[in-house]
Amino acid sequence: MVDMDKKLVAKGVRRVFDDAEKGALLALHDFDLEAEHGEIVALIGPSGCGKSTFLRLVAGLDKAQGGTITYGGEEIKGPSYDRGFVFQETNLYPWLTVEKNIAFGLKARGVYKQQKDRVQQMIDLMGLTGFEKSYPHQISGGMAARVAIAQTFVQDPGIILLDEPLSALDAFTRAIIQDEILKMRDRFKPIILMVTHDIEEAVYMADRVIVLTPRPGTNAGEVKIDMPHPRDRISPEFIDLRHQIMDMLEFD
Amino acid sequence: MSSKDVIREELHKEEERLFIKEKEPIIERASLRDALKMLVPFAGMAISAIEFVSLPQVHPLPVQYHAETWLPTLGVCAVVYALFYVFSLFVRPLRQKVAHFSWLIFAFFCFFTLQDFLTLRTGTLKLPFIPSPDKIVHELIANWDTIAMDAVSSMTTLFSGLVIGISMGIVSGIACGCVRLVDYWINPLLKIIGPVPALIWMPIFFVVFHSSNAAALAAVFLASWFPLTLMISSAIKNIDKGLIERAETLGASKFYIILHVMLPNSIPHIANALFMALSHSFGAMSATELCGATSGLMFRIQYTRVMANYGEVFAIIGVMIVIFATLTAIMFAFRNWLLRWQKGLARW
Amino acid sequence: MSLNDRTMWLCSKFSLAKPKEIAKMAVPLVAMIVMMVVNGAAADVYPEGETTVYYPIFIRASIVIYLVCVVISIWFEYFRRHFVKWWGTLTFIYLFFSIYNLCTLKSGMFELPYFPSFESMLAYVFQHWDRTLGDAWNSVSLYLQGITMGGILGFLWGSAMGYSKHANYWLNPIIKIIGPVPGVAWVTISLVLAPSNHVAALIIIASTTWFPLSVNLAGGIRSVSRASIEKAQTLGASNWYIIRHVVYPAAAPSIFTGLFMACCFSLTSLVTAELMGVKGGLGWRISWAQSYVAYDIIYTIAICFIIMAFILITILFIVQRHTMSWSKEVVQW
Repeated sequence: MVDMDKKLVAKGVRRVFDDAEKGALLALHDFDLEAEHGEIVALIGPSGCGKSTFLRLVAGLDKAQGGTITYGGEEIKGPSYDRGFVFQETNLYPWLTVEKNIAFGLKARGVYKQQKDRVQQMIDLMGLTGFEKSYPHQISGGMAARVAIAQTFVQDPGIILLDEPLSALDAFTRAIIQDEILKMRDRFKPIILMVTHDIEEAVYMADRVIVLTPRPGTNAGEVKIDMPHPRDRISPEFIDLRHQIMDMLEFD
Repeated sequence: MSSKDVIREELHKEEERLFIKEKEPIIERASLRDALKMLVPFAGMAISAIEFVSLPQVHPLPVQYHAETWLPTLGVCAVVYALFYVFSLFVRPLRQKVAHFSWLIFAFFCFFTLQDFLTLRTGTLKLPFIPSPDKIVHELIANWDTIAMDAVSSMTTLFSGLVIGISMGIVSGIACGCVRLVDYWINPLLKIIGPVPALIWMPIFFVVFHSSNAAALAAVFLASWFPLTLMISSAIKNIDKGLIERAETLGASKFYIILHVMLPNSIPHIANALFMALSHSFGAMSATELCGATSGLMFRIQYTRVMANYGEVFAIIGVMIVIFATLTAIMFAFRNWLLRWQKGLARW
Repeated sequence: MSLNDRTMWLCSKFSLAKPKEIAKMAVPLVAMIVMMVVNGAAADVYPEGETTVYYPIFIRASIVIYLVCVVISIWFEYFRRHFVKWWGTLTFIYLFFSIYNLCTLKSGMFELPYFPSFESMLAYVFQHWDRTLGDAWNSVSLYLQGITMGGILGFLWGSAMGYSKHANYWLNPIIKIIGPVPGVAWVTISLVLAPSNHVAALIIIASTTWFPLSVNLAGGIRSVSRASIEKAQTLGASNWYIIRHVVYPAAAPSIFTGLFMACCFSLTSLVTAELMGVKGGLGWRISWAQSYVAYDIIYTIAICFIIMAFILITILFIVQRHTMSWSKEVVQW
């Protein structure tokens, strides 16, 4: 069970890439973020502004060159199952079936025997029933995206990081999976950080939308969304919020 | 200025403040650490020389052996390396390479020291079957003309066989991949004849060709044709149909698709097949030279072995190692160039 | 319904063989009957006084076995799919046998001892089948021993090269310098260093297995995508678990490519090793026959060797097909 009081706090985060050809590249500069359990925070901004970079820092896959990122008061040092990451390219393990892919993390941590039924629960929740024994090369892109999400959610991590996981899907599947993510948020109440290019997706799902400047990325502004779920995509409030965010994104 | 512009200004300044890497200069003095590291091979040569001079010989043969060649060899190596050293002190790209290989060169000379110790100094390894490095170099210098002729003969066979085998392999691979009829007839041939080593075919080749060099050529041809055909046809059969369909809808002709879609897509397989073709050809050529050939490296090894001139045997083996390793290195370099667009993939 | 449609419907309803398939299967049968006729009609010319005993038995046995297979495949679809596609090859083989027989035994166009008749080859196999089987068994066991030794060494070597940059610095030059040299050249050294001929042969076979397996394995390990490893890290796997369950499965296609190369190279080493004096293998039997200039034995053993090689490599690919069905990179056999 997740400790609901832990907060994710990032202050003054700075990330520099050491590129052999172009020299040093400043990706993030003085970036702040705070998030609590049960919140969905969307990160939105133009290409190359460092959104995915920040996500990788929270996951512990890279190290920041300045600032701090803490979760529950403890600094983040390396990757852990408690900070689940759903990558942009699905890349499931092609030698494992859908079922085994979802159970991968549980088996790796040695808790598969106790939590075996969670795998089937997750399969049913994500609408993958009947495909348990299929291999990744036999299922469609939409199903693969669902498997990738299930793979992370089945571990019940405290923080879930979504790096544009739905960008390669058609609108219909995207809408279904967005609802499923909301369902799981209601059930498990993790902190969800979502990187997206789609303003509509951000407004539909997030409680707060944080806008980043072009590279080097920093806070450009924040929009709080108080609408109750399920949100109507064509309501005037929704469209107004979209306009707000689009205005913030205009850096000529 | 609006707040957005302020932020932008700040960020641009921040970026400029970062150190932009300068182009690294070509002429640059070496650091002390690098200079010391590059002295290590000299230490290896010194160890070898000291061991050579100080330890007494243990020689089972009745004739006292005058070991004359090794010290001059070491001297030549030292002079050549000294040249490299001096240039590396100032030229950065050269220095990186030389510093990288320093410890390996050291180990190389230590290896020969060990061999000398085990053969000439203590007789642990049975002399004369395993000769000392001194004898090897001596025989190499004494017989370099015959060895060179044999090497040329082997290489001619190898290259002609490879060229014919690889080109025909690519053609038949594409044919098998694209045309089902061709695949139907060639596939059993491939599976039955392909893995079989060249030595088994020698009796048949002799009868058909009546000449051992032609038989060797046929063996090399088979050794290179087989992997190329197999892997190219396998790659083309496995190709993602979508790539071909896309090209067709863009108006490409069949021939264009083969050249510009199928072949580039199967480059990883071609790279593997080239590796296999080269190595397999070495084996096939050497094996066939054993049977009734009149020239060639392996033939010469066999001949000198029968004549019990083991120094020369090892000299030729050394030449063989150098030639084959060089060819393999060239092949790997070519392979890496072929696969340059695959980021982080299989850099051997 | 037209006749054609009705036949098709009947065939698919009872999963019988379609007429086209039956026609395909009939062709080799025709070839075999031709073979029988040719054998009976033309007289044995050369060498004189020789009567063919095994050849007619072989033809009749072929026809009987083939008819049985045809009947089975008319009813069982699974068997049929694998059987029908051999119709062209079998026809070719049997026609080739007839023509060859015509040229050697019947007309003496190609002469002994360089072109033995099929009859004498069959005679050798049937008369000395236990010896041949023993030879084959010796060859196979030597081969498997050598491959296992070289395989284990290559696996460890390649893993070390793939994981550790430091190990790679030392192991890579060794393998790039010593690896390409064919096993034949090591005969001298290994005969001296090894305590027995058998061990020397093992060393030679192992050296040709070790080289391609290491290189391919190292390449495979280094080419595992960082994303796969990072994904496992974010799912909570320890480094050891990642090595066992992510890196090695992802490198499996390279391992199989390396094994294929290793098996092919090692067949050459096997023959070399046997020719240099390891008693009792197929290669040794060939050199034994060469001293008697008994070409029929040489050809027969060569064919036995070809069959053995084919079976060994096919076993490798059967294993590959079962484990690597998910990968498109491996070689299709």
